[in-house]
Amino acid sequence: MRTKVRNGARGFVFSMDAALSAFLLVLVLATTVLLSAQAAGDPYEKLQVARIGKDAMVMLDRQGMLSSENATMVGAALNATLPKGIGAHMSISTYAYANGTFNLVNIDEYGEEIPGGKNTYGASRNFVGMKNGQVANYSSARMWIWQE
Amino acid sequence: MLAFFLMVWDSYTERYIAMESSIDMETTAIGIADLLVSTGGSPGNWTAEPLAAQSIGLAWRQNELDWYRLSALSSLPYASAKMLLGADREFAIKIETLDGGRLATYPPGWAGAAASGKAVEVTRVAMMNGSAVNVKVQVYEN
Repeated sequence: MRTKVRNGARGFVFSMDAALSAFLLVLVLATTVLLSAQAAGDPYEKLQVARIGKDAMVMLDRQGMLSSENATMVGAALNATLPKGIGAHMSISTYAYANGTFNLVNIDEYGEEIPGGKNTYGASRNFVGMKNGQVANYSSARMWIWQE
Repeated sequence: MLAFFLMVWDSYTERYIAMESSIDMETTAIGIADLLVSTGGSPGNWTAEPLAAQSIGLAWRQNELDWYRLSALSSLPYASAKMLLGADREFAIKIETLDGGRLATYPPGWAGAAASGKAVEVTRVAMMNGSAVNVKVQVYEN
């Protein structure tokens, strides 16, 4: 038995079929392009930038810069230590220990402003300030680092 | 449409293969750089008999390099160093001052990878003799 289909209805079915095919094709192409673009980035970028930050922290600590509280020296050491194309901001919070509690004494900020819209990575290092062979204060340095 | 799709697919496949190779090289370079800057090698006195070393490291403590270890590395044949550093590709190490002055290279006198080949370079910062230095590890294809 043959089903009779009106010309208008047949046209509508063809149009629907073509539209669905085009939609599926665009969907597949868009997904392919999107996934490829996402995968094109360097998967080790985060690891490398974080390691550069950690290295810089160790270097600044070994050179006695972290505890120097000298913004010019710390800024210059940061610039000298970090490779070109890497930006950094550092914050050092200093605490005094008295009567069983740590009290925030000071926060020093160094380096560039943290940019918006960029991936930033972090490193931190804790250290103590000594005076006359005694622990004078406790500090925590945090670094935000990014690729410029 | 099918031909276009196949062309796009083919181009992405090629790109993935190239990227996979770069990632592999980068992994090797990161691993070597980390070994050199963060470890002292094994056994602790491997510099006394470099050929008997089980692993190589240049640091006497984290991020502080030691000239003795560096000269012991320089005395090692390239194939031994390659095996001890776990490198599955060709590699070279450069130690430079922060302003680019060359302090040492491994293999000694290494001038650079062939310009035609692919190369990946990883840089770590460390101290040597009280000064900051860049430790650059390059992994390359001939």
